[in-house]
Amino acid sequence: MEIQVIKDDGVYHMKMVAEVDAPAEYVHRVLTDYRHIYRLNPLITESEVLPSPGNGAVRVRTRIEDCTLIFCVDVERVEDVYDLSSRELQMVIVPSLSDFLSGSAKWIIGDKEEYSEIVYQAQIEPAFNTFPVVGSAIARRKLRQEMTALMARIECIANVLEEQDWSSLLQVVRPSVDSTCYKNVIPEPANASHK
Amino acid sequence: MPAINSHLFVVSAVLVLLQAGCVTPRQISYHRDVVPIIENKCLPCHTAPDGTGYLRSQLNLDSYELIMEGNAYGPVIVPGDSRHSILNMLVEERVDISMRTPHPLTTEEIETLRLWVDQGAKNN
Repeated sequence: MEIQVIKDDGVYHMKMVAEVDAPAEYVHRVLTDYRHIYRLNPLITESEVLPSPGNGAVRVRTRIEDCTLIFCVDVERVEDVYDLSSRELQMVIVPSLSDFLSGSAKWIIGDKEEYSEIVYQAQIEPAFNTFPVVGSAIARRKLRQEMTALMARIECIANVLEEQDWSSLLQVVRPSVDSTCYKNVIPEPANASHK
Repeated sequence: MPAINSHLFVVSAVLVLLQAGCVTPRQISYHRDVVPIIENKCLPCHTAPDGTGYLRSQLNLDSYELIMEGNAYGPVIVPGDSRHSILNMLVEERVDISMRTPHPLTTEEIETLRLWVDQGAKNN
């Protein structure tokens, strides 16, 4: 996975190229499952599909809460998503409804038969001060971490969907939680005083 | 002026401490408070192998361990963090819900689930 993040005059520019071990068709399905967009980003606390503004766009609202050290952000983002083809998505932030001055992103999903190659390019201009004291280095590192986690989730969910399709086709038992993408660490049982 | 500031600081600190002591949230027990909600409102659908909620989401809420495992797409609980827990997002309708809810949760039940997760989602 290659990720470049630079900040120039208040605008973050990101470019990422990643190989995902899942068929392109399923990667596209995951990225366009807007009602379940919260499955992709663990920082999302709210999401909904809003009425379409027209032009074939799907308008999606997400709210993200995250903290780094003592700095927390609670950010609202509304973007219009255009499904340009079976392999290309364009997203444009709606500044009047978002905590961003501007922003756009493009996803290109390359079908490599055995796997998918995802190219993601984005420019975002936050309307909030990201990390005023520690500077933009942490913001860039956070963006890298988020993109890495996002790719892992896309890959996992795409594979779950493919497995479900095959199970349905072959009329076998649906996948159990054994095929879960990632698991919680179950906390230790509380001591007797809590009972 | 510095003297006034220091007095204000002391008064503010005392007020903050008093407030913190007064608003301790009630302690939630999984077995006493959460299990009845899940049994009455969730389990009619979210039970393997043929509950409609389970078939749609593969989320089986039949035991503490299964709740913590989540479904095929990942965990639905982040212990200590109800804001980022999918279970809380769904019952609070902070995300689009695809589940049909023949047994809607009351405000008090939603709050109990929120407190339980924020207190660490313990098996207590």
